[in-house]
Amino acid sequence: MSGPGIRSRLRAAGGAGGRLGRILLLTGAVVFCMGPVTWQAVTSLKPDSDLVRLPPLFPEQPTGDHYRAVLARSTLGRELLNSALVAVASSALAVGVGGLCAFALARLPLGGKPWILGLVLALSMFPPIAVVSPLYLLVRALGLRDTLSALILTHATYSLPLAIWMLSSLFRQLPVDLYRAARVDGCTPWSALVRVVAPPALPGIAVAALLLFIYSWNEFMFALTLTATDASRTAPVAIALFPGLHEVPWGDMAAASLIVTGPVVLLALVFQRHIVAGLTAGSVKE
Amino acid sequence: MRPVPLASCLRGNMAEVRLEGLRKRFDGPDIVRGLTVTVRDGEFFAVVGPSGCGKSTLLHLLAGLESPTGGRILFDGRDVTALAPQHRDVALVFQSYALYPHMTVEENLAFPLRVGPRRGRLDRAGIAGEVRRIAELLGLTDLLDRRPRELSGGQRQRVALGRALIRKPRVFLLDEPLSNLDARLRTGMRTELRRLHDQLKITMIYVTHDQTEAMTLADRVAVLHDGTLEQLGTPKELYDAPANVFVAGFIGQPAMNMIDAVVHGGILAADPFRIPLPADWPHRVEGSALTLGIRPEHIRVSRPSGRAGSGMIADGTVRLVERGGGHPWVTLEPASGRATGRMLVALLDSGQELRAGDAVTISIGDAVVHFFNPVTGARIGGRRVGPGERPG
Repeated sequence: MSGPGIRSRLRAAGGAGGRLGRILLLTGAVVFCMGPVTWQAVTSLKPDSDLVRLPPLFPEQPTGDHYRAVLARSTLGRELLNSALVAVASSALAVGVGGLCAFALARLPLGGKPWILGLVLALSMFPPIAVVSPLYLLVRALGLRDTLSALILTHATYSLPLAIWMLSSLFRQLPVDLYRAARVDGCTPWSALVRVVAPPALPGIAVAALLLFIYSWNEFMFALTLTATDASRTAPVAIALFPGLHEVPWGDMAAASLIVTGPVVLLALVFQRHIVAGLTAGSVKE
Repeated sequence: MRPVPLASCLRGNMAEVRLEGLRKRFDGPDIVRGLTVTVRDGEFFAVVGPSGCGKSTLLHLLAGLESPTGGRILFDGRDVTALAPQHRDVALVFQSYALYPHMTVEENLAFPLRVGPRRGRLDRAGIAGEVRRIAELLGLTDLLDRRPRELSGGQRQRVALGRALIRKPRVFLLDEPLSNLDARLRTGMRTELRRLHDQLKITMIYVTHDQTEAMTLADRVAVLHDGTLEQLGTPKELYDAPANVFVAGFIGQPAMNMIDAVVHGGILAADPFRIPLPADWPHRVEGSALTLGIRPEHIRVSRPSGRAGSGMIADGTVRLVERGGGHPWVTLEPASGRATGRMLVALLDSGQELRAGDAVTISIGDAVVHFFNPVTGARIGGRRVGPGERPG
């Protein structure tokens, strides 16, 4: 939407000085964002002997040893699968439940909507550390300790406020007349949601789902607290448990981190085009 | 009341719509204040009023999108107040058209037949047949595969009409359907709508803020203001005998001239005119105030004739000339109005050429004048006055 505008404004700022400034600014941004990832990548390729020395910055003889070691660990596949299951299930649950809440808040005749939204926002502001011990007791009492369900429910609960906020503003952006037209044409509120309100909102819903997926994929504290074995342990927790009693295998951890980051990056890249195309198409009133 | 599918109880696609003391309030004052109106079966009924008068809310109440705060809605004598929209069998055409952006024209048209209470009544071939019929009626046959964003404004408008018509609704509601079209298209669609109505004989309730649209299209017009009904009647009735100052000012373009007048010595002093009153006129009470209304088309403007002084004729100056088509209209400043700042608007004959600054003679001999109560705004009476005739 604003892409061409910004570009032309930048071009108008023009001139050699403007161009130089732009290059510096962009370089700074790229270094800032990519620095840590690059460092991890370099570390993952360094032989053990180079790991804690600073020159050389880049390894003279890059090695794939760390990747081989990490992939050889029999448990990493299982942990990645756990991460994927938890992230997919929790984001689907949050988008499903949150979508219904958001639709009700955006379109159905309800009293006290601002209060409900405010309460939801307030809940999302609870620091996770404040609830982690009671949550642990609750999960143990329910007999869910060290199960995927415990993590799925926790992550979905924590994503729910974000989902409700994102989706209700998304639904509100769609012309209200679309919903009204569907009702007059014969839809119940439910079928109006499924057939008329949700389809044009799909790109936005996908964005919300992706954000929740990334949150769950990266989430560490609940995953650490509520899991005990490979049965439910997720990848970030597994990496954190790499260090042994006497040594920290920096190289292996860096390699594992990159492997774990891969799917998310891939997902974002795949979605990117749809997200951008979808958002602009949806925002224009038909 | 239980939601009963109405279509199964009632044959035919017509309905008389009756509102009984209908009220609606959101937060704040009432938007609709106790409306009681009967729309006859098969009638083209227009609801007209300035923006914010409660027109759209009224349509939403009729469609079941909002529930009223008080009062009842009856279709053919049957109370539908508590019925959900999908069971009311009404169609609504939105100002924004509200076409489903993710569906083709064909899918948009077929949608009402595929959902809700009407689902399954027609098989695939039956639906395709209905879509073809409607597409032909509205000239959409070549556009069936397009998406709404690939259509022009007029085409979107026709798809919206088609989607509303396809299921032969009992009541057809239109919410400012022409206001997003350009002027030429608007006139064309106006004719089209009237033709459709005469062909299909459906009860149509048409909401607009444009009095010209209401007056040219409708069998009867309801003038709404601040959620109350100001007047209900045929376009001719509204024009010839406006019930109050609001209707008088709202109906007709340019608007009626309103002049504060006082009865003084058997004469109505309505600056710049002095109109003799008949002796038996009931409102001829010395010193009582009236509001006098004269339509611009009833004021004659001519070159200065020096005949001023008869009471029906005054001198004045042209201040502004506006051309809205064939007949230009002028804003006049009467010679006596220089102190009060009163202006009069008059419609000229099509050949008449005047320019700002011209001195003219203003005459209301042979005009139809309307009298209103200056406090309540209600109509007191009105009739044609002439040089030899007296107002009644």
